[in-house]
Amino acid sequence: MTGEAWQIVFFTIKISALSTLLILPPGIAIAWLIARRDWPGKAVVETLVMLPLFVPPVATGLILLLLFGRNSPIGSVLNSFGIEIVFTWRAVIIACAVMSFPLLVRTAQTAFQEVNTRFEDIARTLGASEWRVFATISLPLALRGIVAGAVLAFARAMGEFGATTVVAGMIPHKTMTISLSIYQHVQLGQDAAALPLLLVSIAVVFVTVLCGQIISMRKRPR
Amino acid sequence: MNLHLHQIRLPLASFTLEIDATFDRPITGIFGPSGAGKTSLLDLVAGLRRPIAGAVELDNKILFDASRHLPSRLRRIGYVPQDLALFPHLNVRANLAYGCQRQASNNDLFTIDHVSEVMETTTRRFCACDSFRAAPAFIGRTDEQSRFKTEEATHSISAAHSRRISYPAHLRYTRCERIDRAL
Repeated sequence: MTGEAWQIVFFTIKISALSTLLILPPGIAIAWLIARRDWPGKAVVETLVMLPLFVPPVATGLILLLLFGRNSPIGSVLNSFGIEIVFTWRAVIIACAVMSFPLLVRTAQTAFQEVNTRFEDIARTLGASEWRVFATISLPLALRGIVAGAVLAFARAMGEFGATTVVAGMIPHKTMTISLSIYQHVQLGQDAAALPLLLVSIAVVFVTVLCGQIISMRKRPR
Repeated sequence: MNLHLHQIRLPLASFTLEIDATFDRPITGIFGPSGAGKTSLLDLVAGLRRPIAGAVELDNKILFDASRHLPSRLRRIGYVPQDLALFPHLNVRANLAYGCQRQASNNDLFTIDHVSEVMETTTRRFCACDSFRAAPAFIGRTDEQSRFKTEEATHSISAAHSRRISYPAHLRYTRCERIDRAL
Protein backbone atom coordinates (compact mmCIF):
# COMPACT_ATOMS: atom_id res chain seq x y z
CA MET A 1 0.00 0.00 0.00
CA THR A 2 1.26 3.47 -0.88
CA GLY A 3 1.93 6.24 1.58
CA GLU A 4 -0.99 8.13 0.17
CA ALA A 5 -3.31 5.17 0.77
CA TRP A 6 -2.18 4.93 4.40
CA GLN A 7 -2.76 8.66 4.80
CA ILE A 8 -6.31 8.16 3.50
CA VAL A 9 -6.88 5.27 5.92
CA PHE A 10 -5.69 7.20 8.97
CA PHE A 11 -7.61 10.29 7.90
CA THR A 12 -10.81 8.23 7.63
CA ILE A 13 -10.29 6.58 11.03
CA LYS A 14 -9.53 9.95 12.62
CA ILE A 15 -12.58 11.60 11.06
CA SER A 16 -14.85 8.72 12.08
CA ALA A 17 -13.57 8.78 15.66
CA LEU A 18 -13.95 12.56 15.91
CA SER A 19 -17.45 12.52 14.47
CA THR A 20 -18.44 9.76 16.93
CA LEU A 21 -17.04 11.77 19.85
CA LEU A 22 -18.83 14.85 18.56
CA ILE A 23 -22.26 13.19 18.50
CA LEU A 24 -21.88 11.33 21.83
CA PRO A 25 -22.96 14.17 24.19
CA PRO A 26 -25.99 15.36 22.16
CA GLY A 27 -26.84 11.76 21.19
CA ILE A 28 -26.88 10.58 24.81
CA ALA A 29 -28.87 13.65 25.87
CA ILE A 30 -31.54 13.18 23.20
CA ALA A 31 -31.70 9.42 23.79
CA TRP A 32 -32.24 10.03 27.50
CA LEU A 33 -34.88 12.71 26.88
CA ILE A 34 -36.76 10.36 24.54
CA ALA A 35 -36.49 7.39 26.90
CA ARG A 36 -37.26 9.14 30.18
CA ARG A 37 -39.22 12.33 29.65
CA ASP A 38 -42.43 13.33 27.94
CA TRP A 39 -42.39 16.65 26.14
CA PRO A 40 -44.29 18.35 23.35
CA GLY A 41 -42.86 17.64 19.93
CA LYS A 42 -41.12 14.47 21.09
CA ALA A 43 -42.48 12.41 18.20
CA VAL A 44 -41.32 15.07 15.73
CA VAL A 45 -37.79 15.11 17.15
CA GLU A 46 -37.70 11.30 17.15
CA THR A 47 -38.65 11.33 13.48
CA LEU A 48 -36.15 14.06 12.62
CA VAL A 49 -33.38 12.06 14.28
CA MET A 50 -34.30 9.01 12.18
CA LEU A 51 -34.49 10.95 8.92
CA PRO A 52 -30.85 10.58 7.77
CA LEU A 53 -31.38 6.81 7.70
CA PHE A 54 -34.01 7.14 4.97
CA VAL A 55 -33.35 10.37 3.09
CA PRO A 56 -30.94 9.70 0.20
CA PRO A 57 -27.44 10.47 1.55
CA VAL A 58 -26.77 12.74 -1.43
CA ALA A 59 -29.87 14.77 -0.51
CA THR A 60 -28.64 15.03 3.09
CA GLY A 61 -25.36 16.26 1.67
CA LEU A 62 -27.20 18.90 -0.31
CA ILE A 63 -29.08 20.03 2.80
CA LEU A 64 -25.76 20.37 4.62
CA LEU A 65 -24.34 22.27 1.67
CA LEU A 66 -27.26 24.70 1.81
CA LEU A 67 -26.88 25.04 5.60
CA PHE A 68 -23.11 25.46 5.78
CA GLY A 69 -22.25 26.93 2.37
CA ARG A 70 -20.40 30.24 2.32
CA ASN A 71 -23.51 32.25 1.53
CA SER A 72 -25.82 30.37 3.87
CA PRO A 73 -26.86 31.85 7.25
CA ILE A 74 -24.69 29.48 9.33
CA GLY A 75 -21.86 29.35 6.81
CA SER A 76 -21.53 33.13 6.47
CA VAL A 77 -21.43 33.62 10.25
CA LEU A 78 -18.74 30.93 10.62
CA ASN A 79 -16.92 32.39 7.64
CA SER A 80 -16.74 35.80 9.29
CA PHE A 81 -14.86 34.08 12.14
CA GLY A 82 -12.52 32.56 9.57
CA ILE A 83 -13.99 29.08 9.88
CA GLU A 84 -14.63 27.39 6.60
CA ILE A 85 -16.81 24.28 6.55
CA VAL A 86 -17.70 23.27 3.01
CA PHE A 87 -15.01 21.33 1.11
CA THR A 88 -12.79 21.00 4.19
CA TRP A 89 -12.21 18.17 6.70
CA ARG A 90 -14.84 19.82 8.91
CA ALA A 91 -17.47 19.10 6.28
CA VAL A 92 -16.44 15.44 6.28
CA ILE A 93 -16.92 15.28 10.04
CA ILE A 94 -20.32 16.99 9.85
CA ALA A 95 -21.50 14.65 7.10
CA CYS A 96 -20.34 11.58 9.07
CA ALA A 97 -21.88 12.92 12.28
CA VAL A 98 -25.29 13.55 10.74
CA MET A 99 -25.37 10.21 8.94
CA SER A 100 -24.37 8.16 11.99
CA PHE A 101 -26.43 10.12 14.55
CA PRO A 102 -29.62 7.99 14.22
CA LEU A 103 -27.73 4.76 14.92
CA LEU A 104 -26.27 6.15 18.14
CA VAL A 105 -29.52 7.69 19.36
CA ARG A 106 -31.67 4.63 18.62
CA THR A 107 -29.25 2.27 20.35
CA ALA A 108 -28.70 4.53 23.36
CA GLN A 109 -32.44 5.17 23.66
CA THR A 110 -33.13 1.41 23.86
CA ALA A 111 -30.32 1.08 26.39
CA PHE A 112 -31.90 3.74 28.64
CA GLN A 113 -35.35 2.19 28.23
CA GLU A 114 -33.96 -1.17 29.37
CA VAL A 115 -32.72 0.29 32.66
CA ASN A 116 -35.32 -0.49 35.31
CA THR A 117 -36.76 2.82 36.56
CA ARG A 118 -36.89 1.24 40.02
CA PHE A 119 -33.14 1.74 40.42
CA GLU A 120 -33.54 5.42 39.58
CA ASP A 121 -36.43 5.71 42.05
CA ILE A 122 -34.41 4.10 44.84
CA ALA A 123 -31.51 6.48 44.17
CA ARG A 124 -33.96 9.40 44.50
CA THR A 125 -35.17 8.17 47.90
CA LEU A 126 -31.51 8.01 48.94
CA GLY A 127 -31.23 11.73 48.28
CA ALA A 128 -29.78 11.74 44.78
CA SER A 129 -30.48 14.75 42.56
CA GLU A 130 -31.77 14.15 39.02
CA TRP A 131 -28.26 14.77 37.69
CA ARG A 132 -26.73 12.28 40.15
CA VAL A 133 -29.39 9.71 39.25
CA PHE A 134 -28.41 10.12 35.61
CA ALA A 135 -24.64 10.10 36.15
CA THR A 136 -24.41 7.30 38.71
CA ILE A 137 -27.37 5.04 37.87
CA SER A 138 -28.93 5.52 34.41
CA LEU A 139 -25.71 6.18 32.48
CA PRO A 140 -23.62 3.32 33.96
CA LEU A 141 -26.49 0.84 33.58
CA ALA A 142 -27.04 1.91 29.96
CA LEU A 143 -23.33 2.17 29.17
CA ARG A 144 -23.10 -1.14 27.33
CA GLY A 145 -25.82 -0.08 24.90
CA ILE A 146 -24.32 3.37 24.48
CA VAL A 147 -20.93 1.85 23.64
CA ALA A 148 -22.64 -0.46 21.15
CA GLY A 149 -24.32 2.59 19.61
CA ALA A 150 -21.01 4.45 19.40
CA VAL A 151 -19.45 1.43 17.67
CA LEU A 152 -22.25 1.39 15.11
CA ALA A 153 -21.90 5.14 14.59
CA PHE A 154 -18.13 4.78 14.08
CA ALA A 155 -18.59 1.94 11.58
CA ARG A 156 -21.23 3.94 9.73
CA ALA A 157 -18.93 6.97 9.58
CA MET A 158 -16.12 4.81 8.18
CA GLY A 159 -18.29 4.01 5.17
CA GLU A 160 -19.93 7.42 4.68
CA PHE A 161 -20.02 8.38 1.02
CA GLY A 162 -23.08 10.15 -0.36
CA ALA A 163 -23.36 13.16 1.93
CA THR A 164 -19.58 13.56 2.05
CA THR A 165 -19.14 13.80 -1.73
CA VAL A 166 -21.67 16.63 -1.95
CA VAL A 167 -20.58 18.71 1.02
CA ALA A 168 -16.84 17.96 1.09
CA GLY A 169 -15.95 16.95 -2.45
CA MET A 170 -13.08 14.57 -3.16
CA ILE A 171 -10.06 16.73 -2.56
CA PRO A 172 -6.81 14.75 -2.28
CA HIS A 173 -5.06 15.23 1.10
CA LYS A 174 -7.97 17.37 2.29
CA THR A 175 -11.25 15.50 2.24
CA MET A 176 -10.37 12.17 0.66
CA THR A 177 -11.72 9.26 2.69
CA ILE A 178 -11.51 5.53 2.00
CA SER A 179 -14.93 5.33 0.32
CA LEU A 180 -14.32 8.44 -1.82
CA SER A 181 -10.92 7.12 -2.86
CA ILE A 182 -12.29 3.68 -3.77
CA TYR A 183 -14.99 5.32 -5.87
CA GLN A 184 -12.44 7.54 -7.60
CA HIS A 185 -10.12 4.61 -8.37
CA VAL A 186 -13.02 2.61 -9.81
CA GLN A 187 -14.16 5.59 -11.90
CA LEU A 188 -10.66 5.86 -13.33
CA GLY A 189 -10.59 2.13 -14.08
CA GLN A 190 -7.91 1.47 -11.44
CA ASP A 191 -9.73 -1.37 -9.66
CA ALA A 192 -6.47 -2.88 -8.46
CA ALA A 193 -5.46 0.33 -6.69
CA ALA A 194 -8.75 0.29 -4.82
CA LEU A 195 -8.26 -3.24 -3.49
CA PRO A 196 -5.89 -2.47 -0.58
CA LEU A 197 -8.24 0.30 0.62
CA LEU A 198 -11.15 -2.07 0.33
CA LEU A 199 -9.41 -4.71 2.43
CA VAL A 200 -8.28 -2.20 5.06
CA SER A 201 -11.74 -0.69 5.39
CA ILE A 202 -13.30 -4.14 5.80
CA ALA A 203 -10.66 -5.03 8.40
CA VAL A 204 -11.17 -1.85 10.44
CA VAL A 205 -14.96 -2.14 10.44
CA PHE A 206 -14.82 -5.89 11.14
CA VAL A 207 -12.62 -5.41 14.20
CA THR A 208 -14.75 -2.48 15.43
CA VAL A 209 -18.07 -4.28 15.09
CA LEU A 210 -16.57 -7.46 16.56
CA CYS A 211 -15.44 -5.49 19.63
CA GLY A 212 -18.96 -4.08 19.87
CA GLN A 213 -20.41 -7.60 19.72
CA ILE A 214 -18.06 -8.83 22.45
CA ILE A 215 -18.98 -5.88 24.66
CA SER A 216 -22.70 -6.49 24.28
CA MET A 217 -22.33 -10.27 24.77
CA ARG A 218 -20.74 -9.94 28.23
CA LYS A 219 -23.21 -10.83 30.94
CA ARG A 220 -25.55 -8.01 31.69
CA PRO A 221 -25.50 -6.74 35.26
CA ARG A 222 -29.13 -6.78 36.05
CA MET B 1 -43.81 9.25 63.97
CA ASN B 2 -47.10 10.47 62.64
CA LEU B 3 -48.07 9.84 59.06
CA HIS B 4 -51.35 11.13 57.66
CA LEU B 5 -52.66 10.09 54.29
CA HIS B 6 -55.58 12.39 53.74
CA GLN B 7 -58.16 11.38 51.11
CA ILE B 8 -55.54 10.18 48.68
CA ARG B 9 -56.64 9.19 45.21
CA LEU B 10 -54.14 7.37 43.02
CA PRO B 11 -55.32 5.86 39.71
CA LEU B 12 -53.82 2.41 39.12
CA ALA B 13 -54.18 0.11 36.14
CA SER B 14 -57.55 -1.39 37.05
CA PHE B 15 -58.91 0.77 39.87
CA THR B 16 -58.30 3.97 41.79
CA LEU B 17 -56.54 3.52 45.09
CA GLU B 18 -58.23 5.61 47.77
CA ILE B 19 -56.58 5.97 51.13
CA ASP B 20 -57.60 7.97 54.14
CA ALA B 21 -55.53 6.79 57.07
CA THR B 22 -53.24 7.74 59.92
CA PHE B 23 -50.19 5.74 60.90
CA ASP B 24 -48.90 6.65 64.33
CA ARG B 25 -47.05 3.52 65.52
CA PRO B 26 -43.28 3.13 65.10
CA ILE B 27 -43.86 0.10 62.89
CA THR B 28 -46.82 -0.64 60.68
CA GLY B 29 -47.22 -3.75 58.58
CA ILE B 30 -49.48 -3.56 55.58
CA PHE B 31 -50.89 -6.71 54.05
CA GLY B 32 -53.36 -7.36 51.30
CA PRO B 33 -53.79 -9.42 48.14
CA SER B 34 -51.49 -8.99 45.22
CA GLY B 35 -52.47 -5.88 43.26
CA ALA B 36 -54.26 -4.26 46.19
CA GLY B 37 -51.92 -1.28 46.09
CA LYS B 38 -49.45 -2.02 48.91
CA THR B 39 -46.42 -0.97 46.89
CA SER B 40 -48.26 2.01 45.43
CA LEU B 41 -48.98 3.15 48.96
CA LEU B 42 -45.28 2.99 49.84
CA ASP B 43 -44.44 4.73 46.55
CA LEU B 44 -46.64 7.69 47.24
CA VAL B 45 -45.26 8.10 50.74
CA ALA B 46 -41.74 8.00 49.32
CA GLY B 47 -42.73 10.47 46.61
CA LEU B 48 -42.18 8.10 43.72
CA ARG B 49 -45.80 8.34 42.63
CA ARG B 50 -47.97 11.35 42.61
CA PRO B 51 -51.63 11.06 43.68
CA ILE B 52 -54.23 13.05 41.76
CA ALA B 53 -55.83 14.28 44.98
CA GLY B 54 -55.31 14.34 48.72
CA ALA B 55 -52.44 15.16 51.04
CA VAL B 56 -49.51 13.34 52.64
CA GLU B 57 -48.29 14.70 55.93
CA LEU B 58 -45.42 13.33 58.03
CA ASP B 59 -44.79 14.74 61.50
CA ASN B 60 -46.70 17.94 60.70
CA LYS B 61 -44.73 18.47 57.51
CA ILE B 62 -46.66 18.47 54.25
CA LEU B 63 -45.00 16.12 51.77
CA PHE B 64 -47.75 16.40 49.22
CA ASP B 65 -50.91 18.37 48.70
CA ALA B 66 -52.70 20.22 45.92
CA SER B 67 -49.99 22.87 45.74
CA ARG B 68 -46.76 21.01 46.45
CA HIS B 69 -44.97 17.78 45.73
CA LEU B 70 -41.79 17.43 47.76
CA PRO B 71 -39.31 15.47 45.62
CA SER B 72 -38.22 12.05 46.87
CA ARG B 73 -34.67 13.16 47.45
CA LEU B 74 -35.77 15.78 49.99
CA ARG B 75 -38.19 13.54 51.90
CA ARG B 76 -35.52 11.53 53.73
CA ILE B 77 -37.62 8.42 53.57
CA GLY B 78 -35.70 5.16 53.24
CA TYR B 79 -37.11 2.59 50.89
CA VAL B 80 -36.09 -1.05 50.58
CA PRO B 81 -37.91 -2.42 47.55
CA GLN B 82 -39.19 -5.95 47.21
CA ASP B 83 -36.61 -6.77 44.58
CA LEU B 84 -33.89 -4.80 42.81
CA ALA B 85 -32.76 -3.59 46.19
CA LEU B 86 -29.13 -3.38 45.09
CA PHE B 87 -27.59 -1.37 42.28
CA PRO B 88 -26.13 -4.10 40.06
CA HIS B 89 -23.21 -2.03 38.80
CA LEU B 90 -21.92 -1.05 42.24
CA ASN B 91 -20.15 -3.21 44.79
CA VAL B 92 -21.61 -3.70 48.25
CA ARG B 93 -19.68 -0.83 49.77
CA ALA B 94 -20.73 1.60 47.05
CA ASN B 95 -24.31 0.36 47.41
CA LEU B 96 -24.26 1.05 51.14
CA ALA B 97 -22.56 4.40 50.74
CA TYR B 98 -24.93 5.63 48.02
CA GLY B 99 -27.20 7.45 50.43
CA CYS B 100 -24.27 8.71 52.48
CA GLN B 101 -23.53 12.36 51.82
CA ARG B 102 -20.15 12.53 53.51
CA GLN B 103 -18.06 10.06 51.53
CA ALA B 104 -15.09 10.31 53.89
CA SER B 105 -16.89 8.70 56.78
CA ASN B 106 -18.30 5.69 55.05
CA ASN B 107 -15.41 3.45 56.10
CA ASP B 108 -16.32 3.89 59.73
CA LEU B 109 -19.96 3.26 59.09
CA PHE B 110 -19.76 -0.21 57.62
CA THR B 111 -17.63 -2.45 59.75
CA ILE B 112 -20.30 -4.92 60.77
CA ASP B 113 -18.63 -8.37 60.62
CA HIS B 114 -20.74 -10.28 58.19
CA VAL B 115 -21.14 -7.32 55.92
CA SER B 116 -17.52 -6.28 55.80
CA GLU B 117 -16.45 -9.68 54.47
CA VAL B 118 -18.51 -9.16 51.32
CA MET B 119 -17.95 -5.43 51.11
CA GLU B 120 -15.96 -5.38 47.86
CA THR B 121 -18.00 -8.06 46.17
CA THR B 122 -19.74 -7.10 43.00
CA THR B 123 -23.43 -7.46 43.63
CA ARG B 124 -23.73 -9.08 40.22
CA ARG B 125 -22.05 -12.23 41.55
CA PHE B 126 -24.50 -12.59 44.41
CA CYS B 127 -27.04 -15.34 44.38
CA ALA B 128 -30.54 -14.29 45.32
CA CYS B 129 -29.93 -15.26 48.97
CA ASP B 130 -26.80 -13.16 49.11
CA SER B 131 -28.48 -10.08 47.83
CA PHE B 132 -31.12 -10.46 50.50
CA ARG B 133 -28.32 -10.83 53.01
CA ALA B 134 -26.87 -7.54 51.91
CA ALA B 135 -30.15 -5.70 51.50
CA PRO B 136 -30.94 -5.35 55.22
CA ALA B 137 -27.77 -3.36 55.62
CA PHE B 138 -29.63 -0.67 53.73
CA ILE B 139 -31.96 -0.52 56.64
CA GLY B 140 -29.10 0.29 58.94
CA ARG B 141 -27.95 2.97 56.56
CA THR B 142 -31.24 4.54 55.71
CA ASP B 143 -32.44 4.22 59.28
CA GLU B 144 -29.77 6.61 60.42
CA GLN B 145 -30.90 9.43 58.21
CA SER B 146 -34.59 8.79 57.95
CA ARG B 147 -37.39 9.16 60.35
CA PHE B 148 -39.66 6.85 58.52
CA LYS B 149 -39.04 4.09 56.08
CA THR B 150 -41.00 1.91 53.85
CA GLU B 151 -39.65 -1.56 53.61
CA GLU B 152 -40.49 -4.65 51.64
CA ALA B 153 -37.43 -6.83 51.40
CA THR B 154 -36.66 -8.41 54.73
CA HIS B 155 -39.49 -10.91 54.70
CA SER B 156 -37.73 -12.68 51.85
CA ILE B 157 -34.68 -13.62 53.87
CA SER B 158 -34.40 -17.31 54.54
CA ALA B 159 -34.29 -18.45 58.13
CA ALA B 160 -30.64 -19.42 57.87
CA HIS B 161 -29.65 -15.99 56.71
CA SER B 162 -31.88 -14.03 58.99
CA ARG B 163 -30.09 -15.58 61.97
CA ARG B 164 -26.88 -14.00 60.78
CA ILE B 165 -28.37 -10.55 60.84
CA SER B 166 -29.43 -8.94 64.04
CA TYR B 167 -32.38 -6.66 63.52
CA PRO B 168 -33.01 -3.63 65.62
CA ALA B 169 -35.80 -4.53 68.02
CA HIS B 170 -38.19 -2.01 66.53
CA LEU B 171 -38.11 -3.76 63.18
CA ARG B 172 -40.57 -6.37 64.43
CA TYR B 173 -44.01 -5.41 63.29
CA THR B 174 -46.07 -3.87 66.04
CA ARG B 175 -49.22 -3.14 64.15
CA CYS B 176 -50.74 -4.41 60.96
CA GLU B 177 -52.95 -2.56 58.56
CA ARG B 178 -55.09 -4.45 56.16
CA ILE B 179 -55.60 -2.98 52.75
CA ASP B 180 -58.19 -4.26 50.33
CA ARG B 181 -59.39 -3.19 46.96
CA ALA B 182 -62.66 -2.28 48.64
CA LEU B 183 -60.94 0.55 50.51
